[in-house]
Amino acid sequence: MDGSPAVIETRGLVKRFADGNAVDGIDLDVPAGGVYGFLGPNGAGKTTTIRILVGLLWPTRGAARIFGEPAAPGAPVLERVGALIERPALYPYLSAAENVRVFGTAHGLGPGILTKRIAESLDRVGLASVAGRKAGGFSTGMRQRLALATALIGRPDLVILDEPTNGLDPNGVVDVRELIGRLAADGTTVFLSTHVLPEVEQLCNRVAILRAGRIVAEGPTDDLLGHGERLYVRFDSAGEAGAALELLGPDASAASGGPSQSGTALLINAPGASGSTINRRLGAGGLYPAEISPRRESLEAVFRELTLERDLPVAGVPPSEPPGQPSSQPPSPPLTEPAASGPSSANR
Amino acid sequence: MRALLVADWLRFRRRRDLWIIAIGVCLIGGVSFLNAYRTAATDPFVDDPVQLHAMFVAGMSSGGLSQAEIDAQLDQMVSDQIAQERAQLDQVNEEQKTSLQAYAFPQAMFTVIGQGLFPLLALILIGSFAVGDEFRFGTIRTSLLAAGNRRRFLAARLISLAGMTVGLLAALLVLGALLGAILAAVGADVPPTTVPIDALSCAAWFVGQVLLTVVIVCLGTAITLLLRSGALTVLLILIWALFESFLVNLPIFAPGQLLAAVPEALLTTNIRILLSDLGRATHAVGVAGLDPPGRAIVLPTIIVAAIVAAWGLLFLAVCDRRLRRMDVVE
Repeated sequence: MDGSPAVIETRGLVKRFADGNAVDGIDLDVPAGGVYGFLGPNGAGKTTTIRILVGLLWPTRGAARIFGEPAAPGAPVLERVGALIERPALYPYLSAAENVRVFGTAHGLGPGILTKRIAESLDRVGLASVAGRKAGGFSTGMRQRLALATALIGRPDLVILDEPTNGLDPNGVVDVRELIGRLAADGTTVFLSTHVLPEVEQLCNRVAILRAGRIVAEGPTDDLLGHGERLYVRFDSAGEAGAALELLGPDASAASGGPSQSGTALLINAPGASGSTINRRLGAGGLYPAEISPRRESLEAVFRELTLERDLPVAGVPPSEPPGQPSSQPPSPPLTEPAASGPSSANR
Repeated sequence: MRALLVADWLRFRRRRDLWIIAIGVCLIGGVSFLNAYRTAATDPFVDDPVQLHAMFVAGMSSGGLSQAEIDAQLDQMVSDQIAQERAQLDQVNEEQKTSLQAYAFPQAMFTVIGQGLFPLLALILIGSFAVGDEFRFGTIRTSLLAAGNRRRFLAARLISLAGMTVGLLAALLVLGALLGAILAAVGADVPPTTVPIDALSCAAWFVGQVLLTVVIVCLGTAITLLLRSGALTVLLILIWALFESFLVNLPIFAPGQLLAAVPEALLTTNIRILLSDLGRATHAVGVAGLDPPGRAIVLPTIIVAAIVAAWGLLFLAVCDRRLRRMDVVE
């Protein structure tokens, strides 16, 4: 994070339901501007967190602030937030334009400005031609687009989108991604919760990954992908590769698959390290690789690595360790220092 | 607040089912009014001996009498009946003339509203739809976000419902005036008003009607918020009314018992007392004759109204607390 004030800030956010903690000590700092990705498998607590942020749920513990003001249910600051949460919420007996008008009116927009904005917003989501049709007859994708239009009608400073491309056809997905990009370019902060990882790679300049109600990684998207960066080192002989393995110690491992089957290749965990540094270390040991190249991990691989562990206590499910054993640590360190307080920091 | 009220109006005006309910209430009110007029205008006397003879034959058993004895007995009964009815003729005619006044303008306006529970039931339906649908469609999320303040959202919704209540009552008043005028125009047997209705009492009666319906709407809204659904609200309110009538009839609350005054704190008992007190004060035939429930202590009407209003405030407090504290998971 740079020095700019956080648009969204949570400290030790906990939400407990009857079956356990859906959110278990989340500390978030979402900077102003750009698109912030909020990732996690199903049941990780993304939607619950979002519902707390937009004042639909009361947190069991902890606090959330938006634009520096408390984001409790009914807080005035929520008027600066536009949100699309899970399935679209629309009045089926109203037309597309009337749906947007109702929410725009509730936001305090006058009839004159509303008429112009309704036309603009429906056009922006590709529903201008069906403005007069009742929303009850819309397809899932059209409903999703209309819900987006209603969320944006008040020109909010912060837009929170929960799976905005759900149910959209490929063209719709591209349109919505472009729309999110335009919003960010116009200075609106977009908080995007999604399962679609390529979407995050394309759009988000910063991400947080959630597992079992806790943040397991947070930071700029490039850093997150760089965190999984490795160097692929190939030697002319298996003997040299074995020697390099010994020389580099625990940072190196024999690469699996592809060229490594001959036993001449290594994968080296070297986040941030350059090929020349490794080359110098190998050269000092009298080893000269035939090839050194970076292997950048996909977000999908990083996501799976961070969220597939089974040893972290899941909401409502006891940890797998026997009593008296310390809890296992998640596999990867955070990309930024965790907040000092809150239950999540102990588990990262 | 104004923005939320306008938004509510934009929604409600497009709800076909709300319009159907409102039109249905007016239709039922109108048909009931005309039907009641027809019954009231029917000559109460049957002095045709043949018709009376046939009526008595239908309700008689032979009891071992001969046909001659039966005929003699029937003739006696017919002549007794005719004599009795002629003796009561003046009194019955006077009563009929009075009851028919209920169908003349301006009394007809009260008669339409006093027809029954349709307006109240309709308002419960409208109230539960207006709030329950927010949960059904999931729009409670976006509505609360747009409203910002939950209390403001609730206030706007209740004001909208109160507005609809007043609108529906006003529509029924207009309907009553129209029906009275139509009956007069077609030359129906509608005698002129002998006892003028009291204007101030009429205003109090109308305010009382609004108070009752607002209290009922608050009850409906509170139940809808507690259940997060409008579907069961009407049923639960009917169960509430039945439960209160069951409670009132328990021996421990019978007149003369220590707890005899307890039923007078109940909602439905006070609604009945308020309606009968206010109706009697108007001198409008259609509402002046409502029977009040038995009372251990006769409280002034203003106190009865205060008890009803207190129930309304209680429901309002339930609505407020529930909405402000609830987690919206829809």
